Amino acid sequence: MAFTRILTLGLSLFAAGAVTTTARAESLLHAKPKADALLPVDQAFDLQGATRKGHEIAIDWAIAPGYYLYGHTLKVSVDAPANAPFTGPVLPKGEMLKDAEFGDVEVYRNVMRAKLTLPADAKAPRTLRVRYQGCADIGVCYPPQTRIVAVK
Amino acid sequence: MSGFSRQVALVAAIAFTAGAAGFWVARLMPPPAPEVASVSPRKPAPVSGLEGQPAPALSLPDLDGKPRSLSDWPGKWLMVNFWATWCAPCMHEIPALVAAQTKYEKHGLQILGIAMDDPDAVRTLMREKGFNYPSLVGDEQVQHIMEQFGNTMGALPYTVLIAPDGVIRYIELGGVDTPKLDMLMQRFLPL
Repeated sequence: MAFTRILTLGLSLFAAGAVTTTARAESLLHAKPKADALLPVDQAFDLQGATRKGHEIAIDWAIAPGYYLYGHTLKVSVDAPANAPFTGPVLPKGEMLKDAEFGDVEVYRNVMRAKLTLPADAKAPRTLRVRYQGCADIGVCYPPQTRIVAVK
Repeated sequence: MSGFSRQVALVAAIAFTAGAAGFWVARLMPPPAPEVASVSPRKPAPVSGLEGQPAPALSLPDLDGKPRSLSDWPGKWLMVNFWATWCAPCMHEIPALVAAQTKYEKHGLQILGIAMDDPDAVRTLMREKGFNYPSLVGDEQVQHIMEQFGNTMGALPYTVLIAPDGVIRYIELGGVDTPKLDMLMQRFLPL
């Protein structure tokens, strides 16, 4: 009986070593990413709103890790009241991305804040029409998005 | 030492050596790939649910404004490539698609672009890039069609290979290159 117990222990030790080895090999074979991991566009580029402070309006995005917004495709216009004047949008310095097709383009990661400046004696916009576009580092791009944003 | 003791010692020695060898081999192997944070983008696997299913019907205008559908290319292996001029990864894969159209046309391949874009921008770019395959165009309509083809995120580029019997054989989200296209042609086309 003692012999059987020792044999069982020996086999268990062997199995432990083999299982550990197999588990590592399996994880290498199946290191592919899981499905459904690409975020919906509004989670990738979370347009958080437009905030007015004096003669300035700030439009903010929270950008998910691994995604970026293009600066040059950002377009802002006044939705209401029609023809409310402003200058901008102005963006801070972003990250320069070298693209074989589009050349050097400025992109924004993590956050993007666009600023508009309002004339001192004009009506402030109540709602803005904002168009923006971005991509994911894995090599896919989302279509341009247009949103109407209330100015708070 | 008795015969029984020698057997016990032998079994123990074998077990110890085997176990140690297993751990040693495991230590030598690279560690598993780290888990990526759930918010990081990862390329979704091909939408396998649609592979093996009939391709949805579609109707979109070509660059002359004429409505076209997939049945306009009967008997072909249709590679439907959703793209846009504002999409850098889409631009990068165009030379490989043009080369594949040249190389595999005689084997029944017909690439068909579907651009989510302005027709004028598409026309200009197709001329610049020397397209040798047609492209249809649209806006929100293209987004809707992509959803029907399994691309619920609306991300580009997106490529769907449809057999002559109208069944979807392969779907790829993200850019394709010549090695990948060669592999697909070897796998699916009667070469």
